[in-house]
Amino acid sequence: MHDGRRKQDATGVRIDGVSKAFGSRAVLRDCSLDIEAGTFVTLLGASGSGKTTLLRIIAGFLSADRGDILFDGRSMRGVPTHRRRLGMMFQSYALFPHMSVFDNVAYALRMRGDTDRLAARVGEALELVRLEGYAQQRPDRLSGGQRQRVAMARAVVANPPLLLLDEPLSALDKELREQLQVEIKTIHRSAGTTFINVTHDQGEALGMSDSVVVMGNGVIQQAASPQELWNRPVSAFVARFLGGSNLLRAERRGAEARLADGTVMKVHGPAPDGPVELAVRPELVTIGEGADDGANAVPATVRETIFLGEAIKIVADVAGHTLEARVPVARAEAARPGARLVLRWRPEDTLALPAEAGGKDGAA
Amino acid sequence: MTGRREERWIVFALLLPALVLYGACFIWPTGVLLSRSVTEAGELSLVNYRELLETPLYLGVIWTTLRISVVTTVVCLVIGYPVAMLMERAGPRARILLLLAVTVPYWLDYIVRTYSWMVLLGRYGFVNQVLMWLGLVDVPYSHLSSELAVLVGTIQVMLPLMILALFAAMTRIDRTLMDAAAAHGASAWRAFRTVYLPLSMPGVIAGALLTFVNTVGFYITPALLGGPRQTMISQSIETLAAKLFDWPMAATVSVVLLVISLAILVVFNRFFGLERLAGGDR
Repeated sequence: MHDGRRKQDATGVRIDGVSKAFGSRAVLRDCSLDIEAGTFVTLLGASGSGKTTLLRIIAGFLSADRGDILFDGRSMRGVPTHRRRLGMMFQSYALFPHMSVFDNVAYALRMRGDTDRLAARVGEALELVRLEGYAQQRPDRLSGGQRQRVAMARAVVANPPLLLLDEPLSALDKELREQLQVEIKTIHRSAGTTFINVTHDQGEALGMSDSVVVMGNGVIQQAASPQELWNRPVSAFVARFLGGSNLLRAERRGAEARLADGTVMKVHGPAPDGPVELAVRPELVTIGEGADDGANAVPATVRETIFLGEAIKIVADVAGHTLEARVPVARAEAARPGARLVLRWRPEDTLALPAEAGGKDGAA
Repeated sequence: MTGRREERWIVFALLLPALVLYGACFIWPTGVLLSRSVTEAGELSLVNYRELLETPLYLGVIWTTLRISVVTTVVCLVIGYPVAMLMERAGPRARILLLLAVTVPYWLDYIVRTYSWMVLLGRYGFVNQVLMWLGLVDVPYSHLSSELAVLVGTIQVMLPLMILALFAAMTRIDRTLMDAAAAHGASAWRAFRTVYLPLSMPGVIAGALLTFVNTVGFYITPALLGGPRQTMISQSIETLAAKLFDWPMAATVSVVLLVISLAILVVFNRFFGLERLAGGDR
């Protein structure tokens, strides 16, 4: 980014058994996580999941009740925020309204006493976010997208080895959000530093990150790459939160599970014997012509069909559940509302996940 | 278009009582005052102003008034700023308690508050008892009739106003800004100096303005707590008008008081822009 000054300097973050309660309400329960230096990690969760609290503890705005945060192996206990070498972006932009765009960006350099080539470096940062001509403007003259770009310039101008993003895109409209996603990713690639992002938007999390940490009820539910998370959720909670998966209640015994209507299918996955939820992705479901290929097959009644362009979404009733299938148009001729047909999917695409206790946790 | 005109008439009609009141109770008497101060035996003359400028007594009163007002303003600011900040940062319950602690004395009539200071500061008052008990003084002596007593009174009367003005401005500061400052390398003190303090300036200006302009016009407090040497402008106007029946001179001193207040407003407006006090940005 800044020729000659650029250091491959990235903070590795370890979250070690962190717990936090506000009054009697436990917000984080024994969270542990290793964030490798230089990766883009997203904490994904609904509001109240603890993701923002965890980020604020990493930033040093809050302290953990139990556990510790380590930067490159060094405990951050007692290290104030301003000594943690951070850059940060906020949902509300948090630009200083009494300063020009230039002074906002220069702030991160001036507060660190890092002022040689100040004007040039602020200029480079503004160039990076394509706001070259705006140095002397006041933030209140700028649009939301421009303000967040100024905030981005302020966050990266001092080359911090760790950048924290507290839902920076959630106040923007869809088009701007997608545009800035790309820009943030590009900046991450060129800076080579560690980014920790917080969001409730699954698409953003899966699209931007090297690794996604799904949080719910103050607990880390799963930390994995986006592909891993999509294909191998470890629990019904994660599958439900990511969305898109069909979830069917069943009773597992060994490699088989029985649905409520008595259909038996072959399954695999982490859940032990007993009540499970079977996760099946809609795009892996086909309409069965009865070929005996060992696939799982269930009788279904088509409730509705929705044309999606390249495919047709079929909503069907299966064993007391609603099941979605996404089928190429050419193979979906039999699917008419009211039609009875057989839906099939491969045993290896039938993931048995531990059922959620009482099914209540989903409403985190 | 008739609707437009009707509307205007309605607005005018609704404003009429206020306009009449304003005209009869402010514009008219001020005009009379002004004309009395610049006439002598029916002729236009500045002789009153010359007398004022040549009489050490009047100049002394004006100087005392300005001095007490400035000290009151500065002390209220220094005491009030941390209190207002504490109120802004406190949790909802503590905030309400602090707000009550600040406003309850403010609702009490200030004459009552001034009288209670007479009790506290008098020869056998609470302050002396404490000082004697601590062994700091041997002979009880009255703290009244001193500039310190007047200042204690004016500061206590004006402090709630200052705190409320500061608090109102502080609650408009986005708390995330301090997080942003810390995240980008500012220590608590530098974050305060570079972000919080500048953003609380509208409150500082509003509070200082209210305190100063109000203190300049104080009457009861210096009369009860001060001695002859702490005479303030309002007291001398009362003496001139009601005891000496020197209406032209009373008018002249009144005009001086008015000019001081207006001058303060003009200066503040020049440097800070009064419209910012309404909360609007620039």
